Amino acid sequence: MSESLALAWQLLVQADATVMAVAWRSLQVSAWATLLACVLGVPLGAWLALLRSRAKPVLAALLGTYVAVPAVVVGLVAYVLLSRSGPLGFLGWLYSVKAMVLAQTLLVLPLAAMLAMQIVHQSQQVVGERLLSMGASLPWRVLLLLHHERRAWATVAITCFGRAIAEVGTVMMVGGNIEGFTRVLTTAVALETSQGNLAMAMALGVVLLGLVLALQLVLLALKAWPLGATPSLRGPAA
Amino acid sequence: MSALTLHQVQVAYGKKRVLDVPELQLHAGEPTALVGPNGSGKTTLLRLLHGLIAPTRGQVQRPPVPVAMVFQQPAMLRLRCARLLWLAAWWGSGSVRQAGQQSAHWLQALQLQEVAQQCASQLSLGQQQRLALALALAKQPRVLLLDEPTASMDAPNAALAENTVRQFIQHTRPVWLVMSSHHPQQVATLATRVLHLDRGRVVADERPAPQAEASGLS
Repeated sequence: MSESLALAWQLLVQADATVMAVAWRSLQVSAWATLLACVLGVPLGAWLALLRSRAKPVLAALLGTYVAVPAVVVGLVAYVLLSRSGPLGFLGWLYSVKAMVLAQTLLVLPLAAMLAMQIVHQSQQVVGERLLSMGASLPWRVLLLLHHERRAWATVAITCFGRAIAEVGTVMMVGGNIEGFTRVLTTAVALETSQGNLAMAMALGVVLLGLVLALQLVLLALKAWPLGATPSLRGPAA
Repeated sequence: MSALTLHQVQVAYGKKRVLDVPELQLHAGEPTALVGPNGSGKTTLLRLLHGLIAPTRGQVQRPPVPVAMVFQQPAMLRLRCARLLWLAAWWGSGSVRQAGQQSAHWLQALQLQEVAQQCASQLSLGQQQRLALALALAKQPRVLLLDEPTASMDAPNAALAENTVRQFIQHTRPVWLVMSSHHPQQVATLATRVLHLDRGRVVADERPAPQAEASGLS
């Protein structure tokens, strides 16, 4: 263990080119996947929370099931979609970073939607009826409740990012773990472990943990950020 | 002009029946107060009249006019007061120009100019309740529902709110005003009809003689 920590420290201090490239690729893939999942999933979850339909419990149950789908199954679906004979095969993305972004997006999208649904549902109970009474349409209610809970979205994004960057199954299946091209921290850890290089694997794991810890610190800083009036939605002077 | 009508209406939460109104008509120009102990069904009736909840049984007929409500809990969005008021006025009028005029008017009428650029959710409860009334009035509703609208206000601000409501119903016709209140003086000042509720039923329907202050209402 001490040997692994020492190696991790050495790799970080020396800014080992290979490790830095793998870490940077991990960050890029997971950041893009988180961004896409939040852009698609948060409005979807908010819409579901505000939906007044008999189909709502069924849709919520389907979303809950999607959250619980194992990562390798999501990877399999992404692989089938992107394989040469699949519906997205014409893109030629298989074993590329784009394929990894797509797979991770599919993986964390339901998580973003589920968290958004819960947050907006709670917010709706507090201020939703006021918006209805003010005459706000559904798109306006979604927009204003998203804005109302803006501090929570940082938590959603970091939760999704944490899920994405710690994931190995999907990126392995659609990325192929190609050195210098699609290798990320988690797939590198898996490879080093399978080759018996436990110290290196642990060192890479420490780097991964360091990244996640840094994100948590960012989250803490965001929570401490004062939120008063809303400069982003500046109203006309009264 | 048609009436707000409830026909064989029941509202139940699970097995618990919280409202049971066989027949009720509420008329424009006849400000109506709902009085009764906590849990008697006042808020449920107001939310039903708004359309925020559907009856478990029976029918509610509403005239096709704008409805606004001041809620008992003045929970506010994290937006500047002026912005929130502008949105309410804009959704009510559909005109950007009118929205500006309306929001400025109601900010002034309810003495909220000083907090206009403050975040609505950070106001005191009394200020939030005044803002809630301003939001409802800015929509220019024809059905105005007030659920204990001055519960968190001090006496001067409660008087200001009552006076603002009185002026609104004097200048807007026809208008349905239905309010719940625990303040007999407020009921006597604003309402010309009083419905007494108990355990979800209307147990008395009175039309007391209007006070001198309220003589110009209907």
